[in-house]
Amino acid sequence: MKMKTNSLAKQRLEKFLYNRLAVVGFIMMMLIILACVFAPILTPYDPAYIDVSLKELKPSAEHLLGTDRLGRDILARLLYGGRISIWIGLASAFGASAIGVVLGCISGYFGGKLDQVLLYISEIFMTFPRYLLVLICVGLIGQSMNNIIIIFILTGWSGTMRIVRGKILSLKQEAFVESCLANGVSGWSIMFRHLLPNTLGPVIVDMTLSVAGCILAEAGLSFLGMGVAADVPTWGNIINAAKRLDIIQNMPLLWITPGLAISLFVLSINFFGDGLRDVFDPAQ
Amino acid sequence: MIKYLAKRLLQLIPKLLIISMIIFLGLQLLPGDAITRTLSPEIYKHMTEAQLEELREALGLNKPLIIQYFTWLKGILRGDLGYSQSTGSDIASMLKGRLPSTIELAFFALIVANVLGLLFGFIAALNKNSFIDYLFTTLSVIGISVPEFFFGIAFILLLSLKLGLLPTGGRMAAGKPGFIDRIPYMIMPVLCLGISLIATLMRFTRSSMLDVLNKDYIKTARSKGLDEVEVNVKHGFRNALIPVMTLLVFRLPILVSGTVVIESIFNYPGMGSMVLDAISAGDMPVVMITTMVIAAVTLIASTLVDVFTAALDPRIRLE
Amino acid sequence: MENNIHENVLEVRDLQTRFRVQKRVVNAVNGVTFELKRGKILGIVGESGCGKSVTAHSILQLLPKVGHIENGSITYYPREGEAKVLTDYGPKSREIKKIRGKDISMIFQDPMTTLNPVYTIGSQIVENLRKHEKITKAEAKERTIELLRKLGIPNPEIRFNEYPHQFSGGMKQRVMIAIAMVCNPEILIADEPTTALDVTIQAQILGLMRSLQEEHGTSIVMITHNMGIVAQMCDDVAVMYMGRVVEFGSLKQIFTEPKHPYTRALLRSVPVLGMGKDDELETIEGSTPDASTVFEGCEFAERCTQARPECFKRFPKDTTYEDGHKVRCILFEENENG
Repeated sequence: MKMKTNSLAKQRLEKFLYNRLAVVGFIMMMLIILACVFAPILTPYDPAYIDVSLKELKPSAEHLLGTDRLGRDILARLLYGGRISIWIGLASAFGASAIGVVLGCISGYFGGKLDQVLLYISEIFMTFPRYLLVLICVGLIGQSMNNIIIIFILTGWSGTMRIVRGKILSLKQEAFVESCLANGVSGWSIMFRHLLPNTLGPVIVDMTLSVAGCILAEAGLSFLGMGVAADVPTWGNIINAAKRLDIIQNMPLLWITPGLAISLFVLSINFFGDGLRDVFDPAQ
Repeated sequence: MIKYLAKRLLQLIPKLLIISMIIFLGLQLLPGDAITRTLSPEIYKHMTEAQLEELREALGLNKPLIIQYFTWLKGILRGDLGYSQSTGSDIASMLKGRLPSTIELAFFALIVANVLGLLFGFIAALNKNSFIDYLFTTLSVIGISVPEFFFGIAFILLLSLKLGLLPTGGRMAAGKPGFIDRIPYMIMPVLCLGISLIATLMRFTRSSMLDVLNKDYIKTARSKGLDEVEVNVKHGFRNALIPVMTLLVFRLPILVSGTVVIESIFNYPGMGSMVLDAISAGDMPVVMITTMVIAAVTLIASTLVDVFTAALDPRIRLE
Repeated sequence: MENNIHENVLEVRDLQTRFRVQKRVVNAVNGVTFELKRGKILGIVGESGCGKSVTAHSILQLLPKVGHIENGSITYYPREGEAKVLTDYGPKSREIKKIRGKDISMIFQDPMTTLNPVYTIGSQIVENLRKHEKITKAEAKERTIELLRKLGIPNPEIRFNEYPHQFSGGMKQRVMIAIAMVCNPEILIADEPTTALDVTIQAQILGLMRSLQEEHGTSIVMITHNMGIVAQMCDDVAVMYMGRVVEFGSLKQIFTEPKHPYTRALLRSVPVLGMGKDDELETIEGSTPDASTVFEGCEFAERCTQARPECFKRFPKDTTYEDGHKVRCILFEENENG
């Protein structure tokens, strides 16, 4: 049995490695994450340190990407900003998936009225412009990183729930569930030990892509000035500071670099996610 | 078909009610008194506490919540949406100018995204593994990865500031409200709003089309001696469209969400920028009512796409 | 006039169809030769994977993208006019499209998936008719309803406007037959037409095909793995194994004097009416080798009970008897020589 799982994992790894874009995506993603994690080593500057005498410097050996209007080092702000943006993406996607998995399992396995209600709620969520909901929540509970994560989690579980529910419904038809029941295995045990592991492939793929979605959503919110408080550097906040036409024209580095950072990171996640999808779900 | 349409429209009602209930409850959670939202602040300022209490009684604001809800709903249906807390103007008249411009923006983005997304997906599928397939597929991943505001800023820099081809923002030049005159103002917003949808639809159309091309009925179509165009379009694309339209229903809310960002970048006077201004001003009644209107419009649009899907697929229609 | 009509309506010579799957090359059909006599039914039998279905698809060039005809010729002799070498036409050529659905048509195995779910069955039949004949919509509809009635579909006027998902499997296959037969083709290629159906429905469908064939004089290529169907329907039989025809002959020749060890084994594995209850059915030892296996000798040698050392070393040649019976086996080459 152990041998078999090993060989399956190996087979999947080989299939993943065969997909060059996915490998490139994975490497790029890891590089960006590592650069942000090791920001203190990579840059000597404090992203929040204001020195107006150093404002609007052109790129140089000291300031690789120059400085902004308040004399803060742009590279330092990018690296530290990435920490927050990526953390929001990871935490939100993970939290939303966790809720989606639990609700999906319950909905799919027990069915009945509960299933109908959960399905209806998720449908409302999916037909409602999520961004507006997020904006209302931000307006109600205030702007902070943790609030943003909580709002993303609470508004983002419906997709995962539907995937898990569908998968469980089809797995329930299979013979091994019946044989488990016949052998006296309890419902919860069947659900979490036998059914759930079989749904994890698509859930992981979905979660990966939702990390990308959350990072884009955070960037959009911050860009509008509705995300994390403006003094905290995130990729979206950095661009938000560059919204004026004169800055767009005269200080392109200020908005191009964070824009590229978001785009590259999301791009690499998407390539990675597509690769995972090919491995876990060849039918798609 | 008419039966299906009627069924879908009936199903719309409970959903709209639920959304209105959520908004109503949200409004109740706001600090302050419901009366401040039903009266114009101009009038409110000049009233005594006793007069207010009398009015509360008269408006039924002391009655149970559920009765208040139905009173409120009746008002909404008559177009009585309440008043803005920051500007004092009535929300219905604020919406009157903005709703059509957002619908216009979203509608054209939807059309452009569908035409280009479906076309590119179709071409990529028919030329699977060719250069053009790889090109479209790669572009589509970029399209879903780059934030729309980044495209927006880049477009403004390139097309407006550098080349001077298009205005940087706004909806129309002063005194020129005609549709033709507005087109230059719409090109960039429509394109930016549509890009990620173009990319999504392209990817999905491609995989759906590839799936359909492997179906036995395509072989049947060929065995009748039909031309490749008839086989691919009449038998292939028509079937490939069905799952794509199902996806589109779930993508519509995302498109609508995008208008908030796009309108902000291009100073486009629509619902999105209205919501944003209201949030900045802490004017939650405007935010919530506007959101409710947007959600209702989105839901109706989704239903229309659903009905279109049913028109394509007899299996849905006749169930 | 009579003399001008070629005795055979279809001749396949040395057909080789090749598939290219991720740099791997597979010869699914490897030098197949047979002929279909005018107004007769030819059965092509063999286990799954023997290339019989690929052979059928090669005739109208309906192969998947990865497959192509590498070698050989397929010639169609119309009742009137010049012989047409189908292998000279490309799979997307105007010429082959004119023949598809009109002169030669095809029905497939699984009626659940061969009809387009979004069009009415009536329009799918009319589509074929209007593609090849200049007639009005009303005439086409009338003819289609007539045909549906003849095929035993109740209330054809109503069912004309219904969709495939409203039909049962057997009814769908009748619709497929209607699509194939609506232009009165000279040749009908039936690729396992009853395999996906219930046994009782199978008999009805076969009966229908038989009566249409008798009425219109259609020639049929019947692809099947079922020896019972062959015995019931066919005039001639080609037995295929690993992409080759190992034996070809009339129904009587194949069933009463089978020569190739594979044919004999096949026949012994099918129950026959009047068999004693103690008579055992035999199975063929081993299984069909992988399609990409490279052989140096007879493909069947490994599973053959009469194989000799020589069988593994060289390919057998075709041996043709005076009565037209053909066999591809080393054992019979010697018989001829001796």
